[in-house]
Amino acid sequence: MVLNFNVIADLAFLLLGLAYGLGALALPEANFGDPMAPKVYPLIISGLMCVLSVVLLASEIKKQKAGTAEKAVQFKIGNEGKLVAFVSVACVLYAFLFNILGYVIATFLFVEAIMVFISKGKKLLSPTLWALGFAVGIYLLFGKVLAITLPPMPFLDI
Amino acid sequence: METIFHNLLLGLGVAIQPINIMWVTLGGVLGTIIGMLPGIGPASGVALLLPLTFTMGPVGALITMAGVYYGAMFGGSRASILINTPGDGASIASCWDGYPLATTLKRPEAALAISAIASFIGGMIATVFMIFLAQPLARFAIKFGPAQYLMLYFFALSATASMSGQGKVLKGFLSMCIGLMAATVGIDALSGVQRYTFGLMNLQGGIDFLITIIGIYALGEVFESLGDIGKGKTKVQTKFGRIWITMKDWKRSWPAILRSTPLGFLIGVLPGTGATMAAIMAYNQEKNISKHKDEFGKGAIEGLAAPEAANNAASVGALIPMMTLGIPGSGTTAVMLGALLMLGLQPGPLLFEKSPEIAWGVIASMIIGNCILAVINIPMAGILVRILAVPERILYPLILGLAFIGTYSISQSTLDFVILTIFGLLGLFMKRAGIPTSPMVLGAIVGGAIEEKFRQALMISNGSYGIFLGDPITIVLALLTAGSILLPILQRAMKKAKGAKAAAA
Repeated sequence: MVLNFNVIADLAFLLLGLAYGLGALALPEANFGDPMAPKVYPLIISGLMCVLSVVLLASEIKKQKAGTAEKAVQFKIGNEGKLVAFVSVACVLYAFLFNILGYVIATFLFVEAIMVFISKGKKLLSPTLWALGFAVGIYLLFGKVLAITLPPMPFLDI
Repeated sequence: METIFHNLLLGLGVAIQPINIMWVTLGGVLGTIIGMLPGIGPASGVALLLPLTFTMGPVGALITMAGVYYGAMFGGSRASILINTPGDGASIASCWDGYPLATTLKRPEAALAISAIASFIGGMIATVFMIFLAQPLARFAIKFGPAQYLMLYFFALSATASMSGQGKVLKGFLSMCIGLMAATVGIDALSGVQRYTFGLMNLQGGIDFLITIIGIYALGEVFESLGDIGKGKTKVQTKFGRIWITMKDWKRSWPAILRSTPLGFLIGVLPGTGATMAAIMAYNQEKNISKHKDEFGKGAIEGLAAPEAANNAASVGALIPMMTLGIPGSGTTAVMLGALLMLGLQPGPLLFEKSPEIAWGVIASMIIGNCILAVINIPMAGILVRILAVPERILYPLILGLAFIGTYSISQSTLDFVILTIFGLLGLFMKRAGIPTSPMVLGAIVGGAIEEKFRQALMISNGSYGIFLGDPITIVLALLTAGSILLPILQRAMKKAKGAKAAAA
């Protein structure tokens, strides 16, 4: 069996379906009404999902035998993989720093970092201006005009 | 008849209030811009702009979101025509003749003008259809109980999943299951049992489906496009002559527009089939009946007019099940439904009974909105398309920034930033594996309601599953559901049989 994207996805969703179903069985029973009620619906979804992923996997294996399947996934991180990984890490860090640094600083750093990384550090001035404008602009629009409470800058009460 | 005029006047009274004209203009302009930008379509657009609607109240919010939706249909074609990259899925068909018309035949003015004119006419006629259809449908649906609603949800979901495209039906249903799963996280409303919260406080309230949407659409789309940055960017033309068409263009285009509008509208009303399919079908229909088939693909003006009229008509049609039944039939209307629920407004048959001024105000505002959009997209097209010149390395990080501020405005929790990122990666993974994302989003939004109706119906029937096939409405809906699942299978079987016959002959 060739490990291509279809196989990986089908296996992953089969596991997810099984885990979800086991999770449903382990749920506590309801204190009133039908004690099984909260479990029935998740079990139906789990069953459907397992059946679907098994059928998909079977048809993929058939395809592979006929020689019409896609090629195997290359486990090599290319340019796109690097970008996605960098942006994902930046997103998590952003979540972490959001309340510590306040909206404007955290957002500026987040947007600036991604812009600079995408342009491979070749351009600095225009990303900085865009990031600064965006962070301040959104802070004013959401924080002041739309009255959504955003974390303020540390030490400065603005 | 009289009541329709009465209601329409009531709606116009709401729609012409200066504040609502401002909202429809704002929605239309933002929608046009969002439609133009490759990578974000109307569904992500509505989701990203959601925080802006918090302070508007339900009428303003619905008017603005509808404006974004059909505005995106106007805007999508600008990118198709000028850079051969559809701004959203629904304007793929506009590339086929729009781009050659603008480049090979050197008539970008005519291309921009006819696409806006066709969009305008398509949208207007479809709105008139909606005016006559909305109330009867709402009246009919008001009798629906939990069992009928459940079957209706099933039909909407299965249609969306099975319309996912050739050979993707199973993947469509798989996608739907993921969405339904996401909807079960949190405290079960009917029994108080915590499900899949892993002991985390923040998950007790469930995963907000708006975060699912922003993650799958906005982040997923940005992630998917990251690798393409800087590849083959075409320079955008920003200087134009007078943007208008000739009499000859008009004579060729108007029959195409009039044929495509009802087709697009009908496809829009049906769940699962959206503006994209409407545009492609309208294009194929025109090509089939055209006297100059050879010009199609080389800049035939009717080949641009037809999909443009159809996708606008479809976007209006798609609002009908959402507003009258409270059932979304597409990604974008699902987002709108979610947003309205959050604002405390339940679309559905009762909306027309209890708050006719909202229902009809929105419908009337669509007439005004279409006129405003025609003005924005014809004389001002030259100014607007400059947005296409913003480089992607600037654009995508800003979209990310907007996605996060949108999420924060919904929940004020940074744990959701992590969930958002996970859904973004899931969206990327699904796209790479060829699994459609719309059924998942739909599942995430209606999943909670499905379970609720399912259990309510069983309580009514004392646990007998017979209630789901207990009356003509549920039986018809069940047959429709079965049909929507079997149709693609039958089509494939017929194709195979045809192929075998051809091989034998």
